[in-house]
Parts: sequence; structure tokens; C-alpha cells
Amino acid sequence: MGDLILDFQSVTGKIKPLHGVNNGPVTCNFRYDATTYFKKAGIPFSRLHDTEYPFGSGQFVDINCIFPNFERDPEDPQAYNFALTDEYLQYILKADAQIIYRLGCTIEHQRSKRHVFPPSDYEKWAHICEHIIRHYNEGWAGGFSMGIQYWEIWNEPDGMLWEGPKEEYFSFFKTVVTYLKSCYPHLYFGGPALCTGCNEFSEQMFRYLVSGGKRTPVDFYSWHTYACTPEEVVRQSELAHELLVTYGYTQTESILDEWNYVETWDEVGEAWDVIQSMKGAAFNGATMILLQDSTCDKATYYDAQLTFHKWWNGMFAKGKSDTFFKDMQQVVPKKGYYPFEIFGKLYGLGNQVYAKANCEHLYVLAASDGFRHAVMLANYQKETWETVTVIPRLVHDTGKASKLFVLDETHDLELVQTFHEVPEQLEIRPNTVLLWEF
Amino acid sequence: MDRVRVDFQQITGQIKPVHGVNNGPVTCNFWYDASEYFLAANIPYCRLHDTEYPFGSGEFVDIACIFKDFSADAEDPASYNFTLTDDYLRCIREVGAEIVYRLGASIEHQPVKRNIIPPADYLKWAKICEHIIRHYNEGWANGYFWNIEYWEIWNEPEFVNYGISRCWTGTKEEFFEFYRVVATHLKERFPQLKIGGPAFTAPDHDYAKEFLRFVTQSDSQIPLDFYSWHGYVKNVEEAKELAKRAKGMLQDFDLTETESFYDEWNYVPSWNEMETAYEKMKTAEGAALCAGTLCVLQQSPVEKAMYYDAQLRWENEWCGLFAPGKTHRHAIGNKVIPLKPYYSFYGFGVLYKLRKEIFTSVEGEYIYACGATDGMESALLLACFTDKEIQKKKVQIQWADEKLCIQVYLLDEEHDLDLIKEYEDSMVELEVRNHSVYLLRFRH
Repeated sequence: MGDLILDFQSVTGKIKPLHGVNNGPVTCNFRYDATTYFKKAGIPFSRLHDTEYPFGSGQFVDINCIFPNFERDPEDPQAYNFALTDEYLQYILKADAQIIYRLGCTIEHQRSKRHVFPPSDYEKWAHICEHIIRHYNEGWAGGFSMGIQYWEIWNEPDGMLWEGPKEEYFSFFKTVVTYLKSCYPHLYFGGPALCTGCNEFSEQMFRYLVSGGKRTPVDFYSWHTYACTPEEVVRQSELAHELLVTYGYTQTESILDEWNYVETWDEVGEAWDVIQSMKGAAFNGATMILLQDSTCDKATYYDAQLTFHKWWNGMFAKGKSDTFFKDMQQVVPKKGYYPFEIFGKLYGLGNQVYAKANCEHLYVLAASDGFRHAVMLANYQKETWETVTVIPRLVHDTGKASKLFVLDETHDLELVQTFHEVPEQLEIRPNTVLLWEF
Repeated sequence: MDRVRVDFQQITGQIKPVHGVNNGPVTCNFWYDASEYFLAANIPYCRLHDTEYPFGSGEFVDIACIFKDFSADAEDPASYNFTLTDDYLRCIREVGAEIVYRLGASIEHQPVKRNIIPPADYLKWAKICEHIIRHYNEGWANGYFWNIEYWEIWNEPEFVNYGISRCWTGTKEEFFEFYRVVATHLKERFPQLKIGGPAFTAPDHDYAKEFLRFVTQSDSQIPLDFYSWHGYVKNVEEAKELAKRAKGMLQDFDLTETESFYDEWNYVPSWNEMETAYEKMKTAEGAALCAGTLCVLQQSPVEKAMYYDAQLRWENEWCGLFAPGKTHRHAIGNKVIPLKPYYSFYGFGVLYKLRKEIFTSVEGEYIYACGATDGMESALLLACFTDKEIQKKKVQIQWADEKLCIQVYLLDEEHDLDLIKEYEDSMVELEVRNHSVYLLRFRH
């Protein structure tokens, strides 16, 4: 048993957009629609990577989909294939999310690689990206004014996505980011979506970026973590932060733009089972809570697209439809979705306020807009199975009723109790997430 | 009591390759490998359509994947992207299956169409196909000598669903002209190959009749080595009827040398209850439909047939043969798990390996049977399928007095073509439930 101390008048910061996701609400070639839930959770960012996997289905987001023949003239609108990416992005904006657009290609697991090679001409590749940005932000080639702010150069060059020496990647990154920043100084360019917060690759890359007396602009540094404890995710965040500080990139945002539950890559099928479960949902909740007090500025969960509904997507399942491709099918939220909805409620309130629970396994975060307050509690346990009991102590009693919503094996964020006074204690079963609204 | 009479001595023909499937054994961008099951079932043909759906994932089979920029030079090997299609086809060849290569585009359900629009230049499109064939059959562009015989032009050009064209946005006349240009060019260039199509949604609707009239009444000779058509059926009789109607059409147009290809089929009790259909495709009920259909196709005027679909897409809805197996390492060499209908294909594969069809006749309702022999061993595939509620029934399998060693394998809700009985006798008596399949193996 421990204390749960809440002070809704003590503002400690802003709730950060940590409940972003990878990919959009309308997926599987426009078959499934999760817009309702994106809006309900207030998903702040959709990062576009592995969109319509594999190979962007030849039509979506990836440079090789949009500019299929690298020999063509980047100035020629006819050389571009924007049609389905246009549609895809419009659905994201309709769901009120912002876009982080990964300029590059999808991961390739097959033996014969296709697009994960260093481009034959980095400057030309940068020019192609310049035109893609112009299409989406400045109306070029029948385009739009979407105001997409974040443009990420490549993904996991330290993993399976760069079939070249790392030095070539450093040079590629520098060429592209420098060029794009010169074209669009008001936009944010960064990357490279490394596999971890800091590793040998990132150290060498930043050494390269500051070498020669001229600092390469990096508006955001992106990295990934697949782990089985929220503490490991935060540890990676601190490593990323230290890296940025070491190389003087103190204004550079730190973006965790792929995260999910994995205990071991040798049994990833078991991780997928957890991702689909209430345990996975509790992990989601605990991780977002812990990230709020970390050095991470934004986060996007991998992955919200329905292609991976049995694998990486712990948020949505296929809806049912008895007709054959008549209309888009609505998705059905899974347990893993609801922590995003809870976090979204706190995000909507704006300010983080003081909350502390001094007992093991319990993660807590509170938010307020001055009138309304909400507390998110997650009891996440990887191995053990212990019910946590806390004594809530409000530093300033609101004097009003409060409502407790439960996400567990048997409740999907359902109202289970209305308190007219602060309860003497709260019992939180293992792998449960609570929303307590005042 | 129902009866199945078998005459092991009376050879009525060859067992036909009607247990083909759409798509290959290694699917989902090489994540899942069903090769051992393709081999075990002696799958004879893999038709390539909707391969790695949607859009061939930008890399597989479809013309738009192989020749990504239509403005590029059709003679230039650098204009072609063969790599992953090469790998995909190699996996098919490794399981001993032949290929029916659909030249065209995957079905498109999304609102903005991409690759189902009539090509801007039909002859150029034909020349691109020519080079694809040369790559696979004549070694062009670092290619192969795989002797792929069947090349199908397009798929379901007439298919309109909820008012939206799904496979060809042009007019009927445009499609006919397109077919004429492509088929003529390819047949001229490769007279030894079989050029056909166009994989209609049904064998004998008005569009199909007009197409066959166009092909046969044109001043120039328009090749149609095989006529392909589809049918998703509620019951076995429907499949039998479609095969009959397709052959009737070919006869009406005097296309007596044209092969009839039933190259998409599966169990769809109702197009208005697709969730139920997707479920049933994977059950013992679906398995019995498949076994019954394979039996009647063997006895119907159809030359080849391919079930839709054997590939494990992410969605996996149409694949009633396999489910994803347990994953260990991410995306590498994962096995599949066979589902009930797979065993019907396996059972027919046993007959196919024996090669010679034997005389069988059925007296009784809802029972379908087909037998084969190689002289040393014989086998009989028997299915009971109806959408009605029926009681368990007795079925006697009779032949001339000879006593034989008999193995009885059962496929139903509880059994996956398991050996349930082995004995010596001069007849077999079975208690057959609806939606069950038996494979009887006899040693002479």
C-alpha cells in the first residue's frame, strides 16, 4: 500500500504529444477506417513509415512509389505518382492529426533488396524530396497546402534499411537535410529514426555532422525502442538526450517514433501475443506516462495500420462487413487503443499537474485545464501479478464528484464508480489502466 | 443406402489438373512458406493474379510492377523490374507447379484507380508483355528458360461492383480491341505458347458472348488458346453447371480446340454475407465443397481449374487452405498451418499422382466421388456436401469381387484426413455425415 498524492493546482509542465502513432486512420488500401477513434483519442501525430507495407504497395509515401523512375526529371510533374498518397494524407488531416513524413523507403525483409540501397545521386534524391514537399505544402503539381512540418530523412540506417557503408549514410543525410533546410527554413528536418536512442552509429553520425567547423542542421533526432518495460524506453530517451547535449544539439527535438512491446526478437510471435492483450495495453499506458517526465518530446507508437492487425497493431481489429467492398469498414478498438484515448484526454486538458504514487508497478500522470482534472493510472507488471492499493491524497480537495473509468480484461474504459468524496483507497488490479476524472 | 460403384479396370481418362490454385507457395513478401504442402498435394498449376495484393505490392507480377514507367523504352532491360517476380516464380517452380501468368493488373477496390485504366498504347503494352515472356522463357535480360506455357490476358474486364469498375475502366469495345492487339502480337511472336483469357466473372454472360463473337468473327485470326472464367459457388452442382455452360459457349462459337479454364473458384454461399463466407471457406463445410467440386470438375468439360486463393495475404480472407504458423524470428521463413480445405486438395493430389481416372458412378444424393489408379494402387475421393440439414447416411462402395487392402482416411470437423481404418475386404461401407470427405486407398 502506498500514497497517491495529487495536486491539481501545481502545474509542472505541458502534456506532450506522446500518443502519436505510425500511419494513418484509413489503411489496407482504403478498406478500413479508424478515423472515429483517431479523433476520439486526439491522436496528435501520424508518422508515415512502412505505410501499406510492403514497399508502400508500390503506391504510397515511399520515394520509390512517388517517383518510380529515378532516371526521370525531378522538375517534371509527370514523373510523380501522388494519387493514392494524396488520398492517404487527406484522411490523416481529416482525423485532425499532424504528419511526420518519412522520406525514404519501407523496411525490406526479403532476401533480394529493392529500395534500401544508397540513392545513386544524393542531390537528385534531395530535389525529388523538395518537390514532394512542394506538392504537399505549396500546391505544386496539383498539390495541397497541408502545412506538414516534420520531414524525416530515412529510417533505421543502422538496421536493415541501408545497404551501404554508414559513412555513405552520414554524407547522404547531410546532403539531403542541408539542401531541404535551405529550401524550407521554416520546416523541421531530421532523422534518422535509429534503432535505439544512442549507439555507435549515432555517435559517429553526430561527430560527422559537427565536423569541419560547420554544424549540419538537425531539427529533430528520431530513434526507436522495442522493449518490455517502460523504464527501458525512458532509459533510451535519456541516452538520446545525452547524445544531443554532447554534440551541442540542445534545441533539437527528441522524437521516439517507433515503440512497442518486445521482450526478445528471437520470439517476436510471443511479443505479438502480448501486444494484442491487456498486458500490452497496460504497457502502452505505463510507457506514455513515464515518457511524459522524460526528455522525449514526441512519440509515435508502431503501428496503427490494419495491415498489421495481428502483429504490431495492438490498437485496432478489423470490423465486420457482409458486403464485398461496398463501403469502408469501421475498425474495432482493441485493449491497446484505450490508453491512447486516456492519454488523449489528459493531452486535451493541457497542463501536467503534480501526481506521485509511491508504490511499485504503479505509473501515474495527472493533467488539468484549471477547471477539469484527470488522472491516468497504470498498473503494469511484466512478470508479477500483484494488485496495488493506494490511498489517494488530494492536496487541494476539489469538493466535487469524480468518476473512475476502468480498462482491464473485462472493461473497455467503462465507468465503474462515481465518488462524491475522495475514496479511502483505490485497488488497482495488475495490468489495469484507470482514468479518474474530476 | 447410397452406392458408389467403382471399376478399377475401366480407365475413363486422365486425372486432370483441376486442383490448381491462385498464387504461389511463398507469400506475404516471402514471410510464409507453404512449399511442403504444395509438394504434398501435387499442386499442378499456380495462376498468378492478385499476387501480393494490392497492386502486386509494387514489385510482383503485374505489368505496372515489372514495367513501372510506361514512358520508358520497352526494348531496354533497364526499364524492367524483374527481381522479386523472379524469386516468386522460382519458389513455384521448386514445388513442381506450372504457372499460368496473368498479364495485367490486380483488382482495384480503392476509389482512385491506378493500373486498371486501358493502356495508352496497346501495341507497346503487348511488346512489354513480349519482353516479359522472353525474360522467363528465352533468357532475355538475364532471364530464364522456364517454358511457361500459359499467358492470360487481363482479368475480369467486365467486373463492376456497386457501380464501380474494379478491373477495367474502359469500355467493352476498348477491351476487345486491346485483347485483339495483345493476343495477336503475342501469338505471332510465340506461336508455340498458349495465349488466352480474359478471366471473366462468369462463363456465359452477354459480355462473354460478345467477346467470343468478336474473337471468332473478326477478319483477322484472334488467338484464344484457352478461355478463362470464374465462378464462386454455393454448392457443388453450381460448379458443375458452370463448367458445362462454358464448354457449351465454346462449342457455340466453334472454339473446339480452345481449353476451358475455371481459374478462380471458391465457396461463397452468399455475396451479401461475406463474413460468413470467409469463415466457411476455412471449415470442414468448405473442405467438403472443395472435394465435391474437384470431383465434379474432373468429370466435367473443363481442362484446368484454380482455386482462389492460396496466398497468405495480411488479411487472409480468401485463403481457405492455410493460416499463418507461429512466428519466431521476425519475417523470416515462417511456416503455415494447413486448414481443412487443404486436405481436399491433398486428397485430389493423391488421385492426380495415380494419373488414370477409373469408372465411378454414384447412386444417391449429395455424394460426389472420383477415382484413380496406376494399376498397383487405386484411390477414391468421396465428399458429402449439401446446404440442407441431412442425417448421417450409409454409403456402400462396391467393385468386382476382388478383396483389397483398404485404408480409409477421414476429413471432417474432428479429423484432418486421418487414417481411421485399415482392413481387407471386397467392399466398403461408410457412415457418412454431411460436410465430410473420405479418401480411400486400395492396394491391388
